Amino acid sequence: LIVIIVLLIGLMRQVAALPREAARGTTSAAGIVPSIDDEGPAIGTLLPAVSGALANGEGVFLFPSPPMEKELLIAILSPHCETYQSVIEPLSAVHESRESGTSVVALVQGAPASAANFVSAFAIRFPVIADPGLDLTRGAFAVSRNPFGLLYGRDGRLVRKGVLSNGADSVRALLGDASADPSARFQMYPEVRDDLREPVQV
Amino acid sequence: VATGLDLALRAAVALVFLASSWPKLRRPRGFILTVLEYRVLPTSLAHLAGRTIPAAEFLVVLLLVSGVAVRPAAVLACLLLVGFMIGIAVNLARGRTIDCGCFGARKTRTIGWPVLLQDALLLGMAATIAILARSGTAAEGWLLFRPPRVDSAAGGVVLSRSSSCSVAWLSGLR
Repeated sequence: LIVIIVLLIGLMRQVAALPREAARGTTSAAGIVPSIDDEGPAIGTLLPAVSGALANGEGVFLFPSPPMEKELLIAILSPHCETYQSVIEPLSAVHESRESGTSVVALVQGAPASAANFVSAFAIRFPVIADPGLDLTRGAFAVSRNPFGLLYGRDGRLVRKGVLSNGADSVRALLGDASADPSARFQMYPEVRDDLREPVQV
Repeated sequence: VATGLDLALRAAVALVFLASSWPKLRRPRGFILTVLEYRVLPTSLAHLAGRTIPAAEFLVVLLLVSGVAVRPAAVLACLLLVGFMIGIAVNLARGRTIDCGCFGARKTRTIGWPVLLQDALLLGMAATIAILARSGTAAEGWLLFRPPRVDSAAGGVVLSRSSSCSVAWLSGLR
């Protein structure tokens, strides 16, 4: 009986720890997944030069040309993952806001026609690049989770990255806003600390 | 037997339409994307369909459950299902493998013959409801407390079967 009680207590502790670990990206209910620092390029890495097609069919070429006029936030979204819907409006607000000093570009799984439907359905107001074969998502940016955000600084190097599953809080956390919800800040690498940056208006 | 079958069919169709409409009403833009991805309507019509279909599905649920307008609800369900089947059949003929979007974006299911068969089954159920419905707009079926209705032939007040005590009380007054 004592052994069973000890086992049950141990099991309860594991279950209680699961949400915290899942929020930090070290594990998930589905099993072990890569931690956030292993996802995407390493912090400080220069923006890779990539080319693709925008949703409207125009060609686009992304490359670092420091000093860049604005920071660049690359949002990796999948129309098959419903979570992205809560970040579209905050991302549009960041892209349109002069104060944020950040441009937003999204990579969306699918052909340009599907990306165009995506833009039309959600009235997206930032550029969307179609990524039919996931060559950019999994190849150039080495990201396997979504929605995922990569913030490149004006020097063209990766400043912060993380999972964008908490709506506007995730976007604020990615931009370094220490007032963002802790569960969103824990999904960023490096985590947002109060002494790192001034809050960013979103 | 007909009433029992009618109630069972109404319950089943209402349940399926509730499960279908609720996620779409919660995430309307996700369903607009689904309609756009079917590529059977022009963009503006697809937006309109994406906004109205979930509301129409929910209306079917309300009408079937309340029993206010069973036949119009069943006919509306038939029209919606025929529309869905056309959309699926066109895309199957094109050889496309897209998400059916039947129960919102969260529950992913690729279009195929099983989905078409499922819709055909639901269409059959909805058509049966429309045939079995006694009248187009009668308040029939599941209403627990039915209002008294005037029996014009007898010239008096006759209460529904569920209020037998009241009927006996009225009979005593005569």
